Amino acid sequence: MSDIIIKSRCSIDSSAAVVNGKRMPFSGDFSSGIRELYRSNEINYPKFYKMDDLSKLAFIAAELALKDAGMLQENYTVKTGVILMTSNSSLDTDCRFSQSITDSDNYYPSPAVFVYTLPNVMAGEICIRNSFKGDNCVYISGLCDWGFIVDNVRFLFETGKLEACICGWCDLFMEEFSADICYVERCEDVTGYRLFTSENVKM
Amino acid sequence: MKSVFVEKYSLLTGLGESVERNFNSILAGECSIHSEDFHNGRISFSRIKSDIINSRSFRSPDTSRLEKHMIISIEDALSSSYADPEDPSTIFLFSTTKGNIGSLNPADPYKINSGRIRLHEMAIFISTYFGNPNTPYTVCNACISGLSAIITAKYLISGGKYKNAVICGGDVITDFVAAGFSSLKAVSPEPCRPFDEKRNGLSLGEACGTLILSDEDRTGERIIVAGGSQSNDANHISGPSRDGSGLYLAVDSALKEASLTSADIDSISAHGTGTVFNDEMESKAFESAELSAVPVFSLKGFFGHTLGAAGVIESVLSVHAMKENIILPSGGFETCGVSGSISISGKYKNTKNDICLKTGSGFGGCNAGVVFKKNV
Repeated sequence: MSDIIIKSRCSIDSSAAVVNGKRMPFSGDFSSGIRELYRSNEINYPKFYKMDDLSKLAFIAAELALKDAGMLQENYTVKTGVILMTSNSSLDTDCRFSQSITDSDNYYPSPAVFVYTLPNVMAGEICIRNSFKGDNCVYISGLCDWGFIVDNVRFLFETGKLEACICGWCDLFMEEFSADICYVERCEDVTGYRLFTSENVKM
Repeated sequence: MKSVFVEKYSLLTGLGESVERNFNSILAGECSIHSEDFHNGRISFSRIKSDIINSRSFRSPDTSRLEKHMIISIEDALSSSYADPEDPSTIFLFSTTKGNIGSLNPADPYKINSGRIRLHEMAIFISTYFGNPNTPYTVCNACISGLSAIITAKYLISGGKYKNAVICGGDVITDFVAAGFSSLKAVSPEPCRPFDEKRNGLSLGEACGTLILSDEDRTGERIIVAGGSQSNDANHISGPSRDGSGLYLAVDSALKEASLTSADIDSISAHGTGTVFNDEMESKAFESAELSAVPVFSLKGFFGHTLGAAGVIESVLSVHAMKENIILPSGGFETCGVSGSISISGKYKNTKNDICLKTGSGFGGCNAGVVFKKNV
C-alpha cells in the first residue's frame, strides 16, 4: 500500500552526528565540528563556507541524510519541499548583525550577514543545493513539535503539493545547537520501511 | 475536506486604524510613506502613529510596541467575531520576521534574558493575553510569512484540528531592519512605486493585521480560502529568480488546489515591492500563468513593505475589496516599467471581484500564492 516513509534521517548535536543509526563524533566547538563533518563526508559545495551557522547546521544535516539514502543530486521532482522548525530562529546571526550597527562611529552593516537574519534562509540553502522547488516554510516553537510537523507535511502530500520533503528541527544559538532532520517520500511498497508518523519519529 | 471561511479582520497601518479608514484612504490615493535621513543617506518609511497605542492601557507594563499593536488588532477583530479565544477549538497563529528584535541589548546582544526576543515567547504572551489554552504557532518565512500563516491555518481548519484560527501578522521598523535593507541598497529614498518605470526600491512599512478564519460561514459573507501554496526558486537566497518560474509554481499549485484556472481570476494582489528585480520577476510569472489580462495591484505604494504583516494586511484589504466589488488601485504607479505582459490597475474600479489571487515572494527564494473566492 502506498504511504509516506522515512527514507533517511540525520541528527546532530554537540556530541555526535547520527545518520540512520551510524554515529560520527562531533568534536570541538560548532565551527570546527561542522567543518569536520563537511570534510570527512567529502562534500564539495564551496557555498557552505559563506553560510551562517544555522544554515550550516541545516545544510549538513540535510546533506548527510540525503547522501546516506543515495539521493544526493538526484533529479528530484519540483514537488520536493522543506518544512523546518526552530526555537532560536536566526538570533545568533541577529546578534552578530546588531553588533555591526550599535556604534555609529564603527557602523558596518553587511548585506552578506543581514540576509541570514531570517531563519527560512536555511530552507532556501537546502532548496538551492538540491533544486527543491516545493512548499517551504519555517515555524518557531520552544520545543520540537513532531506532531505538528508530521501532520503538516502529510497534509501537503495528501493535497498533492508534495511528493518528497526534508523536514524536522534545526536550532542554534551560540554553542547550543541541535538538528534532527528526516527525508520523507511517498513509497508504493512500504515493506521494510519506517512509516512517517509522529510515533515513529519520536522513537 | 472542510471549507475555510474568512470571518473577521482588522488592521493598523501608517494610514491609520480600522479597515474602513485604510480602504477609503487607498481609494482616495493617500500615502503614509515619508522620507528621512538615515546614516548618510535617505530612506522612505511608513510608521504606525503612536497615538493609537498611547490612548490605550495594557495589563503588563513591559508590553512592547509590536505587542501592543498585536493586542489592539486582535481585540478589534475578535470584538465582532463568533470565535471564542478562550475555547480550545480556536488556535492562534503569528507571522513576523523580526518580532521584538528592537529589545536586543546594544551593549551585549548575546546576553538575552528579557524582552521576549524569541518569537515563540512573544506569541505565547499574546495568546495567553486573550486566554487561549493552546500553544500558538509562529511562522517566520521572510516576506511571505503572512501568506504562509494563512496556508497553515487553512490546513489546521480544513483537516478538522481547529474550528477557528486567529492569524496575526506584525512587524515594526527598527534600526536593525532599516540598516539591513539599506545595506542591501534596497530602500528607495522616495515613496516606492511598484511596477512603475521610475521605481528604485522599496519603502519600509510597519503594520499589524488580524485575520480570523473559521470552518463555518457564520457571517454569511461566503468568502473562502480556496487554495494556497508555497514554492522555492532554488536559485538565490537574496534575489528573485529572473524568469518568475518559482512564483509561477506557487500560483499554479494554489489555482489547482482551488480547482480554478487563470481565466477565473478577477484580480491579483501582488507582492509588488518596488524593487527593480522583484516587480520584473512578478510580471514574468503572471504572464507565464496566463494572467496578463487580469488587473494587478500592489498596496505597498500606500503604506510600504510591512514584512511579516504584509501577507496578512494585504489579504485583509484584498478580501474587503471583494466584498465591496471593487478592484483596488496600485499605489505609486503611473507608467508600466516591467517587461512581462500584465495589466496594472491604475485607478480603482467598481466591478465584479469574486476571485482574488494574493501573491508574495521573499528572501530565501520563497514564493506564495493564496486564492480567495466568493462563493456566489
